[in-house]
Amino acid sequence: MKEQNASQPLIKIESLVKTYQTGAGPFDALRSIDLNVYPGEYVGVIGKSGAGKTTLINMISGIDQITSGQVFVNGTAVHELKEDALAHWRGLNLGVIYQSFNLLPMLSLRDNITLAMDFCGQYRSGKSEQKALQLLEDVELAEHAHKPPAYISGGQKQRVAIARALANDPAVILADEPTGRLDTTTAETIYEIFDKLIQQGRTIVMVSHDRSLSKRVERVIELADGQIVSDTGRSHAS
Amino acid sequence: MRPRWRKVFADLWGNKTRFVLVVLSLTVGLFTVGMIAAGYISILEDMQNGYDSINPADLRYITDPFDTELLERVRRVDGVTDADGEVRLNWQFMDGEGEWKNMTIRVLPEDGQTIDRVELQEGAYPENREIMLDIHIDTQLGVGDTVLVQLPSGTQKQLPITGIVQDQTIGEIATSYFVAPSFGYVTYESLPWLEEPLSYDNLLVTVDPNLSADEIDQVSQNVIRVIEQSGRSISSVMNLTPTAHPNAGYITAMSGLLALLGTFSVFLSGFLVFNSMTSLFAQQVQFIGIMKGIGAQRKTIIQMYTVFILIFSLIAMAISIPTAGRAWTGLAAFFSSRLNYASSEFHYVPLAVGLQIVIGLILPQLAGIMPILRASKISVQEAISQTGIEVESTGKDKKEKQTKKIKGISRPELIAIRNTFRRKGRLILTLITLSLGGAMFIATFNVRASLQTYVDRVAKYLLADVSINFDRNYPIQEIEMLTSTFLGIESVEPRAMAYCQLIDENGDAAENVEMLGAPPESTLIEPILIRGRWLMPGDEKAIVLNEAFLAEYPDLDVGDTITLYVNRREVDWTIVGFFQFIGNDSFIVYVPLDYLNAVTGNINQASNFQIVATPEVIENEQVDELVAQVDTFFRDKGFHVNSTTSSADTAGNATLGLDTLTTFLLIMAGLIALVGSIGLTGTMSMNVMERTREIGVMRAIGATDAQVMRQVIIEGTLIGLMSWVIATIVAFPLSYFMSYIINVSIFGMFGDFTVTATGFLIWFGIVGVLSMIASIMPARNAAKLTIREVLAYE
Repeated sequence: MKEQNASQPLIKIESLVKTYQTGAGPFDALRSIDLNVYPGEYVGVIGKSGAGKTTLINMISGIDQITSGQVFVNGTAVHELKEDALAHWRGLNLGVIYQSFNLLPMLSLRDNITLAMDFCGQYRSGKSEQKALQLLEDVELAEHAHKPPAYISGGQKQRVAIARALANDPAVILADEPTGRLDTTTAETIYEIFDKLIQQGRTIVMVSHDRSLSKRVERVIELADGQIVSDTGRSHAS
Repeated sequence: MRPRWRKVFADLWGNKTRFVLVVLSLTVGLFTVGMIAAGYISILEDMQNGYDSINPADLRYITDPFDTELLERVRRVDGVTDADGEVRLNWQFMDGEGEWKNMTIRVLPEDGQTIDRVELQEGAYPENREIMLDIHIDTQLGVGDTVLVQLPSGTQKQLPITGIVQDQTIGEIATSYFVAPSFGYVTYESLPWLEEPLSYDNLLVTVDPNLSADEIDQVSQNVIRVIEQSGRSISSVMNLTPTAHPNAGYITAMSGLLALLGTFSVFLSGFLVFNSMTSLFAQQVQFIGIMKGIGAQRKTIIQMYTVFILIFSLIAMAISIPTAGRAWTGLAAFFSSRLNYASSEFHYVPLAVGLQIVIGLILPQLAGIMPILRASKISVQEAISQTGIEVESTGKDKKEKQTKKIKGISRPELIAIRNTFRRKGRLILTLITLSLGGAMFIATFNVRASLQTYVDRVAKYLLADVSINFDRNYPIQEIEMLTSTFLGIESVEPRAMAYCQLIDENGDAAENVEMLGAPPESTLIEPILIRGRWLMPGDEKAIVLNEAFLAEYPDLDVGDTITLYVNRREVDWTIVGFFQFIGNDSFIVYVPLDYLNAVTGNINQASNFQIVATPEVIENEQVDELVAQVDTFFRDKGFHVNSTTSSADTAGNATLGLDTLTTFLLIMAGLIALVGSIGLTGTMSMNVMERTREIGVMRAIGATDAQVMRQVIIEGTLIGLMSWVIATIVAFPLSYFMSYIINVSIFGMFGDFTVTATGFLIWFGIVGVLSMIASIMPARNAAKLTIREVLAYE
């Protein structure tokens, strides 16, 4: 994990607007969002379906393009990066975890992790495999390292996705409804992993429609109709 | 190995069905291109090289008997590289099934064969009183057997068979290869034992290959002078330059068809490859999104998929390059045995291999580049959110409106119809592949029918039932009188034949011409007239020429006068018409019998008689018995009979060459059909594969296995039917074009164009069955999957 200045926001969002063109006309998914996330924060973004939670995550990760405003992550102007540079930057600086796991079904669990290292130029034969095994060990899946994703359960897949998100030691972890497809018991194990990551000093922004998330995180941002309606428990509030 | 390459290999092996389909599509495409290209490049070369290797005669003179002393003098003529003596005899022999058949005997020169060499295939060259046989007709006799021959005098001799040879010169002079009898080869020293004088009557000459046509003519004049100075007269001079295999016309036709098929196969293979690649990448979009999400840049993705395609290409090339070359060698061996040429041993044809490599490497990459670029451009968000279920338009959609109107069709069937048109690009490519294949298949049958129509018309030149050849002329009246009492004979008509030369404007002998004399009032000939008219009673110097004249001398026309050197004198003839015959390079003319007899001095005599059998004989199918009876009858009476044959046999043999062509066409049609069917199977399988998830949803909401299968089958059948309709339309111009190529190559001009329903119906059946099979397999696979399996993401 790269060093960050704890007094400077790791994620800085200014006047962010995202408008989608739909058959029924323009739809504002995000309306003038301003947000700072500081290093080591565990931020939960909650809201109803259609509130703009996933859109916000996609804007931070550069997975989708902003309509207006600015997004900075660890000093990088994400909104100015071109597609290729963005992909490389994302691989190195962000760990993105999706609701639908998004593992590559043709690769083993270990190779799913090393592939992320390979794409970012971090792959070193032997060492990377060892690191991947360690990450799988951390999520208690080392014994399944050589199996394809189809052979493990949904909860286990999400743990692999977390391990992959950590492959390049990113500054920020973005998680979009990581427990959305999991039962309560399995979801609990996932939350425990996130708790451990926070204890290790990682910064996590997690999205969920589940209001109970607010009990687990340090800071809760509530979105409604594309706007921040509340921001509570911030540790580095200006 | 780096993880990215592990991903590429895992992709290759991960879906074995898809892997096999893509490799198969590529392989079949490359195989077809390679085989056809190898054929096109090597077929003409093989025939010419094989023919050159036997040192074919450039000049042939038929003279009074001569010996080796004359040969020595001819060999000393400037420009002459070699000279051989030859004797040709016509006998009858008993084949392995105990039937008497005709045989032409070539007598091998005393000092060894240097010109028009035969190639030993099995056994050894004969000694005195022994014989070798040619391979082109199966006599049911082999090395070690003894052949019984009957000399013109009626004497029978037994000759041990020492060898089997290939004689590529059969058809070079006199009759075409396909009507030529069996050939036998005996030594010069056997001649007295065979009741023949110890001398040659054919002089074969080869000339310096660097000489021009005029210089060859000059050499020929010098040879003639040498022969005449020896006190011998010449009855025929044949200039055979430039030497070409007697069946070169058929090979030219094949070569032309191969060029056409080659062009087609490149397109077909191209479409096949393109189809495979586009559907392959449709399945990869989501993975590309995931990879971009974890840091893959566009160039990395392009690099990975370029290697991915390259592996398919390399596998397909590794299979198709050696097999295509070998397949062509096998096919060439078949055609060379049918067309009597020496095909070369297996070897790679560099240009064909080069074409396979270029197409194999470039085409899949070209086909893949668009989907790769498209997929690599797609945003991560867009790519990873793909569910495998295409977003359908709402009821406002035009097609929806159209399908809504179709009454009596159930909702699932409507969905199947709409599915057919969902992927328009792929549908168009599949239709093109299948339609082109189908059109080619149908056209093959039309071309075959055109040739058959022609064959039927050729039979009109042979309306008599039996033909008897004597080795000398007999009074027409005597033969007519003898046959008038013969049970089973309705009537008899004399024919005369003479070999002559066409004299060009310089007064030199230009072409060898087979002159047939027939009574102008004959009802036993129904000619195919190209121009002008047939012979009429009262005609004297009238002459009708075959298509070979029009091909070689396009300026000749009805009313022109031509000079022919007949029976050692120049005679002027007036052209009254042109007729089409069996389309070889031989120059054939018909003239009034009486006038030809007057020219040759054989007034009221003939050596060939055409016999019409009584209706009873024909009804009872006893023509073969009549042939045997007529032959025995004349031999018993002391006539020198050369051969007695039924016209049906002659016509059958005459069309063997055309049969070879149609066989060739059928093989090619089969190959094209295979490419088309693999295209359809591939498309259907990939369509279903892509929709596996969608099928899972349908089953989850209550669709039964049978309903799922029916939907897929309806879709496949609909594609098949559409392709059939397009194929039937394209087949017309294609059939015409193919018929044109064949007609011009063989007959020198375009003749009949016939359309038959056979090809249309067979292709309808094939495409129907293919569509079903191509759909059933993937549909079964889809139906076998559990709902959980198909809906599971990973």
